Amino acid sequence: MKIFLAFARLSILGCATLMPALFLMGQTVSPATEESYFRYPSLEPVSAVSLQLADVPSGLFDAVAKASQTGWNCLSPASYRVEVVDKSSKPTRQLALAVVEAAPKKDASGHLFIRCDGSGDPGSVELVLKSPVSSNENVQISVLDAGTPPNVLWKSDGKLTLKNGRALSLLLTPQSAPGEALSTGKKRDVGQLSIALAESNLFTNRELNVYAKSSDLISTDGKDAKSAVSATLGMQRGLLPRWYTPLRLEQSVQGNQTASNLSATTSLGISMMPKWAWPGGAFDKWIAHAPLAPDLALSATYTHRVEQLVTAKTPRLAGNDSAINPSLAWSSITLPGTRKLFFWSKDEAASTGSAASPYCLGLQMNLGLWYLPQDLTKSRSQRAEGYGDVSILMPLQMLSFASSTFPYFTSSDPAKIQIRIKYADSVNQANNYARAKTWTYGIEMIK
Amino acid sequence: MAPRSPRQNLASWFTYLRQFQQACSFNKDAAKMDLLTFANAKIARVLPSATEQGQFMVAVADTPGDPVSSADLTTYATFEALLDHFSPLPTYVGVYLQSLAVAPYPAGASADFWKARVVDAFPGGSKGEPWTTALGCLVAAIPAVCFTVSLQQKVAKTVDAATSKMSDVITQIAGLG
Repeated sequence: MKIFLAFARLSILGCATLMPALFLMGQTVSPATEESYFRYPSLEPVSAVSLQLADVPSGLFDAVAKASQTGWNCLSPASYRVEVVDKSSKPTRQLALAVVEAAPKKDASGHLFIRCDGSGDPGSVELVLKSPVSSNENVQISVLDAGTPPNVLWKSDGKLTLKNGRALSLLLTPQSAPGEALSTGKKRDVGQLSIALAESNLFTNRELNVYAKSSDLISTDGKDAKSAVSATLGMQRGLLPRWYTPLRLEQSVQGNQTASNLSATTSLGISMMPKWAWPGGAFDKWIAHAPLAPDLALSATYTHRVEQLVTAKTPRLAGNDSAINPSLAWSSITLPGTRKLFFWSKDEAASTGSAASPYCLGLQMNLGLWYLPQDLTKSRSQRAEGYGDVSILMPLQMLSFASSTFPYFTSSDPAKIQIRIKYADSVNQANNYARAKTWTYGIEMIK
Repeated sequence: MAPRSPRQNLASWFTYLRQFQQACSFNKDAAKMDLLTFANAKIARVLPSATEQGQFMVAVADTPGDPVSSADLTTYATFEALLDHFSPLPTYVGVYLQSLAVAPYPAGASADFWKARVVDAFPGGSKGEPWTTALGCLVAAIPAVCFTVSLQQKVAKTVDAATSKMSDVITQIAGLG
């Protein structure tokens, strides 16, 4: 049994969490922010500027309200100008808009917004960009009236940057590597060039997201053991139109730069959360409470090894390998009956018999199976390796002694600090599915 | 088409919040929450996994049609903050109050109204007719669970404070409770 010392998972709230608070306090926060989302079911990524037309402190709301009285159209790309500006806010180039969409798209009655009436609903518009933007460029948004030439009704501060404004990304990193190991067993000084190329959306057909990526390390010596070439072409789409079921198919080719080691891998994956029902009544109240369904995933991979570079450290592998991996992750189970086992005086008032009370033990589990149809066991049957882990979670608040010893950790939020006791029976895919059984004990801090 | 009234827009915000809650209905606990509890619920607790977050994003992209991103779900801690990102509740509270304030505020700029002193916009304090009328209108427009008697009493103290600005009152009401 292995014992791991306390580990902490600390999630720090981003500074942007403060934005609504600052807004309420009347301080000026730019109503223009980046919004990178996906369309469904195509899973096509969209990079946009979200402009909160209903923002009062910045003056945008008043500007829009006044313009709307003269027929100004908030959903027309002509009503906006998006420019890249330099540090002195001087425009350097104008960005084209593909479309302007209301956010929300529908009013409270369910009718699509076709214009803004200046009253503040829809509260925002999404300016979907057609032109690529680099992440180190500052963007300024101007709201224009319908005049000829148009007058600027409102202008942002020009400090907006778009991290995901470019579908194509390329990163080149040259480096020197003294004493690099070669596949022959020798060592020598080499130069290397790391190349990372990705295109997140090859076609904008709105039916399917097709993407490509490549990650390479090219060396000045073809025998450099670290030289690597990897190219992937993938496509993804939601299987069901209104239920999140991303289906992904990927084809990748990987090897070294001289192709003396070369393989092709095809992978298919889908994940979903099933619609389900959980028994209510006493079972839910006292035995086990699970408000969320488990996440289900299924992946399948097929690897064809075209060439293999066999060395003392890398033995020859099968020419063809395949694996099917169904898995399940369930993280939201609580055991309400355990409240009564620990004499937690504070819990009595807080829990009020609710099965959803966090003042009780929690349960998390991950289960899966590797089915390896081309890998035979000693008895010549097809190989399958099951794996899984189960964690018992104990909120520190539920320990009555802890509330006096660690008042900060145990106050107000019962799940702020929790003890995790985990048993895992795992297999390592990278090491021929070698099995390991471990116990882990830890203290977690979560947000 | 006539512009929607400030009251309609304020009521619409709570309709959008209910639609957010409906989009989380696969979480049995979230589905049972009252509207105020849901508004203040931590997104990370209600939607702990990427699959659940994806399902929520798909549902709200359809109704009401907000393009929520994965980053939004970590940037904004609660569902109220997330909805405020697209449709800011303080604006709808402020614009409705502006429409109920004494002249000349209803015809003026909203930014100026936010900076105005409460005593100028609603003379007579919390017992005066302008405020009692406005309070009655707010009570009718906001679900009772989100605008409790306790919050109304706190707001009344702010209204009575001589130095209070309208932004203070708007902030307090939009904080819900």
